[in-house]
Amino acid sequence: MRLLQHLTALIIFIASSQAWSNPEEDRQLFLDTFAGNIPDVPISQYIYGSMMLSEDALNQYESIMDFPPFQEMVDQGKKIWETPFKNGQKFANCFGNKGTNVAGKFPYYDTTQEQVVTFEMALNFCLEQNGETRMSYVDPKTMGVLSAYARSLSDGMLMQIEVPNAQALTKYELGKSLYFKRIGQYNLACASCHLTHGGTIFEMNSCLQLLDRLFIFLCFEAENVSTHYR
Amino acid sequence: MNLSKKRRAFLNSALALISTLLIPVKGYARWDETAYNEVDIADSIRSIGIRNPGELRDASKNIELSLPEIAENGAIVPIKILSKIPKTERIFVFAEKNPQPLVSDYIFTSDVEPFVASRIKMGETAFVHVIVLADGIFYRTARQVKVTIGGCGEE
Amino acid sequence: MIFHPMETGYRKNKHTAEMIPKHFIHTVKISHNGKSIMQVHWSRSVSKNPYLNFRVPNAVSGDELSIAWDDNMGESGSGTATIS
Repeated sequence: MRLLQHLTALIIFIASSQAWSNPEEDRQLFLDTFAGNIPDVPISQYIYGSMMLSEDALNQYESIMDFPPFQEMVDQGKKIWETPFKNGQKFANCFGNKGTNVAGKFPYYDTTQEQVVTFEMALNFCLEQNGETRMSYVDPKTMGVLSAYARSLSDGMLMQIEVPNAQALTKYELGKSLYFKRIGQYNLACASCHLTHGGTIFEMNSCLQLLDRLFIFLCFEAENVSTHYR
Repeated sequence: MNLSKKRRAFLNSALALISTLLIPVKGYARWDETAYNEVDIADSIRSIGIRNPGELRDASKNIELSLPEIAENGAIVPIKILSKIPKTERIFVFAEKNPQPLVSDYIFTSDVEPFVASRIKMGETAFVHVIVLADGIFYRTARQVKVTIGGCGEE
Repeated sequence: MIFHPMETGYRKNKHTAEMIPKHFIHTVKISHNGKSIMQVHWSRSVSKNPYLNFRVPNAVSGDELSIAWDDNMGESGSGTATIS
């Protein structure tokens, strides 16, 4: 399961700004912030998250990806993906390119449904449209393994998030405000660690590593394949 | 029990002989439950046939050991070992602070290289000891691995 | 890589709060064209779904490599592969 190049396309905003955001400008500012924090790391390495700061960590990752322990889970997901529905259709028919190189476009703003659609939602829409039961977003054994395999079909794909119209921009603004909202006991926002201090050390763990370690751990904790909803 | 010095010496060498016999000659040995159940690193090392630590020769230059400095996840620590010591028969791996320090052992015939790569669990920051048995002599190298997320229990 | 839980016996079942009993492969025997070439002893300290990498310098295309494992609960498994 490869990490998508989320950092290069991640969109940011300036907290004090009153004007409408310009997503592309926000993205550039994000890149600039990182370039300022970790100037020696090439952008191409950003996909490795905190591992880009540690050769030691990257070596372990490469070694483990040789034979990933979560392979079993991904194989289970493959089986679900390839099994036809009762009406004969398959998951691949719901997506362009038979489901390959599509995940990078999610989440996207669906102008018809007027809502943000995530990749897992799209998997459930596919089930629904074909007369099958939807899966629970937090069930590792169904949506977890299916999503793990389905996403792997887009390995290496660049993120391509679009903000097509004013309604979509409103949703973008909402996401942005959440990203910068200070909450919790530490009164921190997502951006506090992942943007402002991205690439730096916070209490013995690098900011990125806080998320990455959890992410990698969940990946390799072959007991459960976590969905993004956990 | 009061044993005369001579008797004790005899018993010691008899025990040593027996433990030597347990060392495989032709690439076969039963899984040693006693050794694997030892909870103290010193006892674990003794249980594989080393009577005293003085017998262990340092061979850091001749045992290529690959381990992370900081384990990303203690449940899955990659380890790679290549022994360049001639006539390597067996390789033992210990994680000093694991509840049972003896982790694994590998028995080689001349048809395989004295090489192995695997993934081990480590409960906490500790030294990993690799002991090589070659031509009846024990050699060791060791390295510390820092572990933040332990690999033994529920996280 | 062998798919096996390699339970340490130190984990608790999340639902029943009972300790999950130790369950691990203790012996793996490796053969090359039917001849035993390597033996592996593992323990609960070996990672789940254990990975093993070894080198057989004299192996040529068409040779058979097989492994046979036994665990502490009396279960066993095996696998054979032909070198391409």
